[in-house]
Amino acid sequence: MTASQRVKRERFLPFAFERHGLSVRVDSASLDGASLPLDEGDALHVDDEEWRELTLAGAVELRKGALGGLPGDERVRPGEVADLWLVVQCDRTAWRAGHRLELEGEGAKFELSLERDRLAGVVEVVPWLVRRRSEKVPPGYAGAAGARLATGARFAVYPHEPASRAGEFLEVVYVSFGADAVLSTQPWRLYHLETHGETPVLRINADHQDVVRVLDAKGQTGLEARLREVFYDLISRGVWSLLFMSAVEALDEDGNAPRRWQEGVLTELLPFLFPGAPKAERMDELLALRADEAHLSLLATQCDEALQQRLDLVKHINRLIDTARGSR
Amino acid sequence: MSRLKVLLPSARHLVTEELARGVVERYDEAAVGEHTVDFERRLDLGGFDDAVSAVMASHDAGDLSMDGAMAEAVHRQLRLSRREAADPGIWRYLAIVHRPEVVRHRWEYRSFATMRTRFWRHGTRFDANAFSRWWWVAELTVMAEDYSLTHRALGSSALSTHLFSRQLAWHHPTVAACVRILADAPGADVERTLRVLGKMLGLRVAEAMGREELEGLVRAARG
Repeated sequence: MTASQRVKRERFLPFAFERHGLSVRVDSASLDGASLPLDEGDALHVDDEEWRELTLAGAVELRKGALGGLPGDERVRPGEVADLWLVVQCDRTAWRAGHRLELEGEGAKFELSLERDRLAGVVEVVPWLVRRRSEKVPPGYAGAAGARLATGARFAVYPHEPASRAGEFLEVVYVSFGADAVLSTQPWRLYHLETHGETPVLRINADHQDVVRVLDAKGQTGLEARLREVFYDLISRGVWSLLFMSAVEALDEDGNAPRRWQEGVLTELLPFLFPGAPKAERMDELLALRADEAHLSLLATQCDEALQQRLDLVKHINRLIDTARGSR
Repeated sequence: MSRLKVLLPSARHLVTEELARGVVERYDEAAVGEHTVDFERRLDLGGFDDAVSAVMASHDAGDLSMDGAMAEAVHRQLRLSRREAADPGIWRYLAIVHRPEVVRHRWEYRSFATMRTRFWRHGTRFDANAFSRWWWVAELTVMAEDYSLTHRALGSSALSTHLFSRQLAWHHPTVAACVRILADAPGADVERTLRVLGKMLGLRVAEAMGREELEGLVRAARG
């Protein structure tokens, strides 16, 4: 089953709208004035813990068909009737801010400043083409002021997370599997995840002392710090997959999750699973995939892709390689 | 003087029926030490304690009119950035360890299920952690030290319940339009209007709309 064969259940707006009409291109990023290397794709991870302001510079581009939300006579003069907006949204801090851009020709350039003190967790930057003022338009077109005409995939920023937040949706405990009546039969296991309760519990096997020593390493530089990053990624990938599938299974037909941690897991991963879909439609896409057993492998594949991007695995492995080479 | 701390997720078991009922008035700080860490900077709670106590003293137990005063007091005294306030651990520390009697003073015990969330759940929903809800509603409604919108929004039980459980409350001009038009509306009217408004905003970009357009939209949603 390929992506093109998927049966999609999408929410359509009651007027012409181009959901893939815009794209956000970030050309440069700087942290308190110092240049920051860009990640590949449509996300940026900020590893520094202390900073005040992140500046992104780039452009919002109109793709082919971007003006399909406008009646024919307005398509030749979009700058007179519509504006481009970048809307910044951070769910954890309830932060929303709109930035109007000057629409010129095929798009608009932007420079966007994000203050660290307003942000926690993922920050989404979403492009919109919006009708400027109310107009009388032919049937099938949006004529209201502020009406959505086109959007596109969002750009995501991941600020560094303090360690104290790590246990919000997951309780992590170190236990000796050898001393546990059930787990002692599986001494080869590194971890065991329980998802039945109000909060999932991750038990890490303390019998693997060398692994635990690396996981507990406090430093930010050196071989152990780089190993720790990769170890965490490996464990996280397995654990997040299990949490995700468990959360998907628990959803009711309206997309409501019975537990807060399930909501949290889906909020975190859905933007990666469906990067091209507007936020309001991601749950519909997920439910459509879940509804058909033939799509379950596709769901697992997309989850794996999402996790590889979310966890920044390649970056951490490359750092480990560089550090290991340097220490030879 | 007490300092703000962060209560870790491992402290979930501390939210007991005994704490919610006041049989356990408060926990000994030393006894919960293993579940707390220092807040990332020094923030003394003296001013916060005085202000919260003053609001309690001037309102009877269960009086919902204390919400506006409490929101202003908590927000004025806890000068936090949104990033800092996004950590549920600080609100849990305040409600479960530092001032549990404030939660009990505001809400009469009716069921443990609801009372439990008023100590633990982060956010602005009507059943969220009391301090978290007061601070965040004030943050979403204050304008240059003017808390009049905060008081009006929390003065209507229906409005505060239905408005702050929706993402449209994250946009200050939208909140202001809702409060101006719906503060005195009947509960059923408020609930229906906000449901319709949510759908209407799903077709628009609120950030691209001016005050008059937003107020017009709220009126149209009210029908």
